[in-house]
Amino acid sequence: MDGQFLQGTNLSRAFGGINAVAGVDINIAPRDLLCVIGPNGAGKSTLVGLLSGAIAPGSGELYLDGERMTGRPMHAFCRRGVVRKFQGTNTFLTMTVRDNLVVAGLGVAAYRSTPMPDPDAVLAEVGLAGQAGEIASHLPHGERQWLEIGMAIMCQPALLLLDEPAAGLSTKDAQRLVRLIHRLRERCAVLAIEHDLGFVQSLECETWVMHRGEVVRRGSYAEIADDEEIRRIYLGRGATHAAH
Amino acid sequence: MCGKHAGCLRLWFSQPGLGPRDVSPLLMWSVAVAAAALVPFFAGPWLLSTVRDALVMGILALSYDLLWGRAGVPTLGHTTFLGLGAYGFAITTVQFGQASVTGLAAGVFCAVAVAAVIGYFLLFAGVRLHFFAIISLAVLIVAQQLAVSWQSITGGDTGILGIPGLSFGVGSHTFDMSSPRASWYTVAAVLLAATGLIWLVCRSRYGNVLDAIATNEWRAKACGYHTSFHLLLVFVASAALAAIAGALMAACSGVVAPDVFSPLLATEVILWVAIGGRGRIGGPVVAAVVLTLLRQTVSSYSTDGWPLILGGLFLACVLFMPNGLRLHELVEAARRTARAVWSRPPVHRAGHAREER
Amino acid sequence: MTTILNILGYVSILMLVALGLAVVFGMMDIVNLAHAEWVTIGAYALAVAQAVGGKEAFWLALLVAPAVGAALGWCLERFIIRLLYDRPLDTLLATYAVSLILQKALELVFGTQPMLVYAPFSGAVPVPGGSYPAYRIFVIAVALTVTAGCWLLFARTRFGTQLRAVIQHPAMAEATGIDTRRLNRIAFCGGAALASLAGVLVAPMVSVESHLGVSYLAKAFFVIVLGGIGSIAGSILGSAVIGTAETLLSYRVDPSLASAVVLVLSIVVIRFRPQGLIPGFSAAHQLLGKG
Repeated sequence: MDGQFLQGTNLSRAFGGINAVAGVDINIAPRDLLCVIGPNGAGKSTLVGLLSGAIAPGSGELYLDGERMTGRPMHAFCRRGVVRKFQGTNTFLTMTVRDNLVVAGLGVAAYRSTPMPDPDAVLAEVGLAGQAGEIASHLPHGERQWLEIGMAIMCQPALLLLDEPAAGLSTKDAQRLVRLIHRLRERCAVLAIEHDLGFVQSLECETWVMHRGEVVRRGSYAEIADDEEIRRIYLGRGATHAAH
Repeated sequence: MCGKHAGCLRLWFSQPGLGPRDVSPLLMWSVAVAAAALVPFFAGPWLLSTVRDALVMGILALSYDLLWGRAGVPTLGHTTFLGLGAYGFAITTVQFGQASVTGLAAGVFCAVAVAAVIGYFLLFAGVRLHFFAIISLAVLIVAQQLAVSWQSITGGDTGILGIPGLSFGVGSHTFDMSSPRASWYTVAAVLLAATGLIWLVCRSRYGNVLDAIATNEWRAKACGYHTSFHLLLVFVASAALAAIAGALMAACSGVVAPDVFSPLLATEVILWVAIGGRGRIGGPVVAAVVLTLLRQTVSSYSTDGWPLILGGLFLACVLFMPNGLRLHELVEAARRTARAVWSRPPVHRAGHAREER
Repeated sequence: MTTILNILGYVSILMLVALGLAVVFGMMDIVNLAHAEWVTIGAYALAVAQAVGGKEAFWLALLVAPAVGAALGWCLERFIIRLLYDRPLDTLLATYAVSLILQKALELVFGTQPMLVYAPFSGAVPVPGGSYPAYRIFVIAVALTVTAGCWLLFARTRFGTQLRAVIQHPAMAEATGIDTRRLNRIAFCGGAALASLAGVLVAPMVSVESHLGVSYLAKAFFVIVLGGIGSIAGSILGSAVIGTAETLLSYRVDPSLASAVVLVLSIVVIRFRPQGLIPGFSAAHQLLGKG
């Protein structure tokens, strides 16, 4: 299909006897914004792992810009623009904040022979301009999340995969993140998996619900929130949905 | 890997501006240059040769510091490349009668070839840390066995004798560098140049990249780095430098024997970097020179004494000085040890926060 | 037939040595480079026993040497490895230093000349294709029996299940009430005892001097790398593969060349199957980035 950046057909991955992801079809166009929600164990993180190349699919095919990427290593995915922001934080703890960003940006820039994004501009964008010289391990959790996001931006993503981006963020920070995501959408596609339904609601985007490795519903958040079946999957039988 | 090569090099190796952190390394390097230039005027030929041989070990220490201290790839058999450089040089100059430079090239080529093959097969398969270290030890042991049994080429147990000293031909004129003073200058020049070059590389952005790969390889992969490729590059570079040290060693001493592939020497190399400080470049070189001179002194009194002292030093260093010789860390380590010996050990390694995959 | 028996002889000793290493590595992420020294210690224990008690002391040594090995192993764990619990890479270096010290210490105490040891019985047994030394057959029998016993312990007893739990996920095992510290110590001493037993068995067939263990060290590690960390079946298979390859090759070429070829083949195999022939799902896999 033309215009699609990422095409995944029938992606599946099992661990032992358990189907973490089963037969998922996914197409992402440039500048799409997509949220994936679902109860624990639904396969969201595995899906992100498949899309970023961290995990090889057991079956199915994955294409980026028409190029077959199934089974290729993670760094190949990153170089072609699929950048993942990890759940929790995963930074270079012994290096300064600014060096973290420089290292994050250098690899992709060198590979593509394009200039690296300005680290100071990215620092300002994520609000860490004052901590440029701080060692990453000294940062509190919330600020390390922003550093992670900054590193992801430095990699010049065409598709940004956010793995629970709102986790551990205060309400104010979460709103800042929503605004940042809407700004990022002008240059890249964003796929976020999230548990915080308030965050998902404020993103106002297409939402998919995963359950037991399959995508069971696709639609806008409003449609999903009203759906009886989704409420049952999330909250169990007989529970009532509390409006946010 | 990248399009325009010149721009690429600038991107990878761009240096930060000179800052206060650079003052002491530059100062020490300048002092070393001055010392290297002046020492031959004060020292007799025997002392000069002894310290020169220690300087060659300094080059070896530098090569291992690049590999382990900077790129975080520990190996137990690094002297394989020292031996390959030495034997390559010896065989080329003695059995094939070639010039020194050809011998040097041959030695480096052997080491680089072996490092490239082993590195490719292991590093690209994701083998790291313990396994890589042990396999390097096995390679060393096999190299030693081959050096002994392949008599026709390596001269067996006795090795190769009568290796000509260094000489360089420029046009029709040959410079003979085999006298103690000339060889001192050659070795010192190589050591200082190598030290300076590696300092510049580690200071540049590529140094940050290597740090990143060494501390969190998974994350580096997620940033688009083909980490196995970079580790292979460093492994091969380190092997080449070790081979240069080997060739210099062969040329200066005139003889090479299978004991150049000794696990004991490989242990000393690790010790030099461990004591001098992993990644500190200058520290391991100084440690190498000091400990080599120490070894020669001890060995002249007792042949068994040195291995025991070495083992003990090594053990003490690992237990009490994980980051090299620093006084306040020694005190801290003593305190930690006392606590560990007299109380229950930790249940499991919960100390390090595990980063997410 | 003699070829097969030669292969079995080499493989069975390799299995004994590699077994202890595999379990300790899988359980504690500890690479004990001094492990092969326990083979040397076992051999020296036999020499000492026979110097004091004569040829018949072999049977005594067969029981005492593993005990000595276990005791020394306990000392190593208590005084050195415990200090490095949170620095797995440094245990590699520390145990390497210990092996150096042990080798030199043995040399200082016993001298550099090979020690005298005697097989408990001589004579040959007729086998298809010729006759084969009875002692070697005895060695094969003992080594295989002990290995089988270990496998049974590992796979069929409650204790073995606990060991396997600690290999796979030490934190979780502790959380279910398994005393991981005690198990680690037992496994460590057990591995040391196995290596010492191998030393006693092998002593009458080789030259007993301080470098005895070195040749088994690298081989044992290859076995577990090839076979898969933390899996007993893997070590058994790995021993079989490497032992067979090396024995067969040394008929044709120089033994050092045989070692070199086996080394190269192992590296190639690891390239294409980094997790080993029979992966054991050990925590150590994660450490090495191979998981």
